[in-house]
Amino acid sequence: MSDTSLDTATPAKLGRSLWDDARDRLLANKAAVTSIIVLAVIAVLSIFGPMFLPHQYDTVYRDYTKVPASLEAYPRQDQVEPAFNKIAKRARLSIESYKMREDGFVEAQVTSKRKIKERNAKRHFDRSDLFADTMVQGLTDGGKSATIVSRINYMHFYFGTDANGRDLLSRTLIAGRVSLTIGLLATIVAISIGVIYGATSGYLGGRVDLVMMRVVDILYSLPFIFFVIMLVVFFGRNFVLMFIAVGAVEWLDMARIVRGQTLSIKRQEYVQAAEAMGITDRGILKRHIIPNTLGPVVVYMTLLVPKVILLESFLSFLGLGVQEPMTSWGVLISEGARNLEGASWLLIFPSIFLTSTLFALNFIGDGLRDALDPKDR
Amino acid sequence: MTKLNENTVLEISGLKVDFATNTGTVNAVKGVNIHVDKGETVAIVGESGSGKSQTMMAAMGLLASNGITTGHVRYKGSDILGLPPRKINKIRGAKITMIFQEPMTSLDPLYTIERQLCEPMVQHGNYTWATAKKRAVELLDLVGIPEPARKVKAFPYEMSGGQRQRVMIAMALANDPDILIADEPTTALDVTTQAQILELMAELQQRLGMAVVFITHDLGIVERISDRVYVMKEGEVVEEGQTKEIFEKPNHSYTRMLLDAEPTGRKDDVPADNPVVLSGDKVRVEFETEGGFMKPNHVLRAVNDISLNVREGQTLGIVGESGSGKSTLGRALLQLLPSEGRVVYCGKDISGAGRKAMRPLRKQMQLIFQDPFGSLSPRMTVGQVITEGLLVHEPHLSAQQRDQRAIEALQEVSMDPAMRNRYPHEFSGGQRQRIAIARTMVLKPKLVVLDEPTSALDRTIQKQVVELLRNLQTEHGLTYLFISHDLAVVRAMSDTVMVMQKGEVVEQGSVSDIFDNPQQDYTKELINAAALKLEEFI
Repeated sequence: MSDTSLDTATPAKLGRSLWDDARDRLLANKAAVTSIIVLAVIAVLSIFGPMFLPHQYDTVYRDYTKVPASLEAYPRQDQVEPAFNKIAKRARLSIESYKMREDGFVEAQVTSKRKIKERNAKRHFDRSDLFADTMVQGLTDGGKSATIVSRINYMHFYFGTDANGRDLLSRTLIAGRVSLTIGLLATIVAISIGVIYGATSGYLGGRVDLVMMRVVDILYSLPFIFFVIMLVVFFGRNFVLMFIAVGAVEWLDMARIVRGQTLSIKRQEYVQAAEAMGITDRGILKRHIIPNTLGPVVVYMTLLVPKVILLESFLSFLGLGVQEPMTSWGVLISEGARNLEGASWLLIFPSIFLTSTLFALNFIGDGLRDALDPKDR
Repeated sequence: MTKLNENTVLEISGLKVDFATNTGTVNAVKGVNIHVDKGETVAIVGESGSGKSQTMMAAMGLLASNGITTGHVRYKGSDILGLPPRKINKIRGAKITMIFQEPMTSLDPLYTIERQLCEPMVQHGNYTWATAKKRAVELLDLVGIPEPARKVKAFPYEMSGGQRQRVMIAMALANDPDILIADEPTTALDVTTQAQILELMAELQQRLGMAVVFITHDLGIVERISDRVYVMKEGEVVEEGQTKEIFEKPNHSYTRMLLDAEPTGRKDDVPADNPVVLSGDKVRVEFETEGGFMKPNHVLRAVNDISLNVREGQTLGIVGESGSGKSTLGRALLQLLPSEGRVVYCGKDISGAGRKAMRPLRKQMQLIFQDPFGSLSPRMTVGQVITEGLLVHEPHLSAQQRDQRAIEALQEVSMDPAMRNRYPHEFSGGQRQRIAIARTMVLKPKLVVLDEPTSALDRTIQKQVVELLRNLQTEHGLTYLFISHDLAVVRAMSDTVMVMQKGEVVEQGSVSDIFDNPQQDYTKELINAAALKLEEFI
């Protein structure tokens, strides 16, 4: 190369790619933008929410099984005295006087036939989910009478609790992590395999195409559940296995879609031009075919994520998916459906999260389709 | 010429068309006044994007949904603009009819010609199915289709492009229209067919006495058939008048530019003892189509034993109508299609060479395509498009050096190098063709096959591209194989010309031999149909 004095420094004007145009059209679509915001909020809540919640997703509150969703704190005023009485009875204490103090403490004068052991009494009360920081004061009457002061342990269950007394809010958010991760990872697995396989098959054509697509047909004919059970038998139950299984099945659709696209793209003149320039097959696939198939792929991806989330729910429902105490939206919903009578919140809250995610993804998919191919509108 | 009289059948006044797009409003037509008198032929001329088609589409209420029309369109005195579809349909398709450019897609492939001809006649209430069928046969006869009684039962795929366009004309004539609007009706046809269709239209007009509005970019057609001309540019009528006056004394500079847009000049001769770059000996290409179960495969011979020789710095023009095998020949010579026969490039036998063997030679042998919209990958920037070949042929270059080469290539085709980070869809057709040329020039080739490089471009841009190609040739000593159906361009570009028909060479010789003294009937027919202004060059 001769060193000509060309002005390399001329600021090259940046062009607007087709992707830029598509993004603008997408942002002009109100339903799609709302959906993106909803999805982002759900994702952020699922990822960071559990860190800020007072309850762990696997902590069991035995005294609060199936309490309804409420903005008020538990225990309720009228629950305190019966609970206190019950514990006192179990600790073989009889209550002489009972008083609820303004500052959230319970103060009771108790007597017993035997000598009251401070540690024993404390253990009985503190073991309950309702009371904490119990103090035994003023032992009199030879240790057979005392004053018990116990703090009422107020807790919030905004979404209620499940049949085991676990906080549904933190469980729903943890489930969101699992469902979204599986949805995303399985989709990425499916799409990467599908795009590469489909583009290669379509571009090479001829006998290679024939063999590659017959392989797809054979895989299609395998029953999905049978396939998953087989994987579980070989590798044991495993979180990673989930998206390998789902991804390994879902890429078949993707491969067919991309192959069809490739067949039409490879007749385009820019592909012929690249061939005439002596570009390698790899280069043509990488620079010409795959970027031009990505439009439909992106749309299909937004539709695949909900499909995968539902598939995972189905597998978990069968007991092949995630295992307790870990959970996913599908598991929560199937539990909720069993407790629909009497504990409807168990179904309602996870369903709200799942359906809004699915709706959002579908709207985004619609928006993307319009944005990427405006001629179709 | 704006004086109106009772003879005026269609009057368009102050017509404006705006398109609301997400990048703002596009004013496609900016206040156009056009009138059409009874029985006259009016031509609307302009380059692509001048709003000539949009004007008539708007007048007929056929705009895309984001189009907004204002102004007046009066048919025999009553305003038809903005009428509800039910009312306008009484006029549209009956009294004012249209023919479109694409005869291949204007007919529904699922129905017979008869059904498609009769439907509008019955719809408009003038015929019953029985009478319409009789009329359909008459109409086909009228537009010169042989054996109309048999052809009326045919499906569109059984007819050629020219015949389909005749059917479209028959359909437009079905309800005795007052006005026939023809939107580039011959652009998609071969020159010889084009001439026949124009003849037919002129004859029908004389016989039936309707007015014809002819939308075209081809001034040759205008001169031949129209009475009056409107010249449109960027949504405005810049000049109007009698055809003769406009052609003899054009007032507007744009009209003058259109008039002398035909590529002129000829290529300088090259020494006859230059080495032969490419020679083909009995090149034959066959396509096999499966004959079906138990039937032998059908073999189509697209190129039949063609031999040729091109010397360094020469241009061989290959002329022929669509289907003559000229593009197939070009691709076969570059070993992009399997072929028989011997192909020798710079003394090296490359016939039957595989992709691997050809790769080092691809740098020197390039191909430029017809469609500047299809031949650039839409998701790559212009810089990436241009330098892609360097990735293979000069892999040692750094990204910066490649960028430098892109800048040089763009300057060579007279484009602003600052544009190299833009995407192809941001450029016009002519600019894209320049980019496509830059893409081949960056590799510094020896031989370039140009497959109809100017056919999709407007005349004025065609002229620029032809000049650019000629300059590049003299500068770099390139050898061209120039494939085209456009005789004017071939004459301006070539040293020798080869006329092809149905895969065979009809006539071969130097430019002056072929154009000034054609021997074969087919060559003469082609030259006549193209209506070249031969006298200018003698």
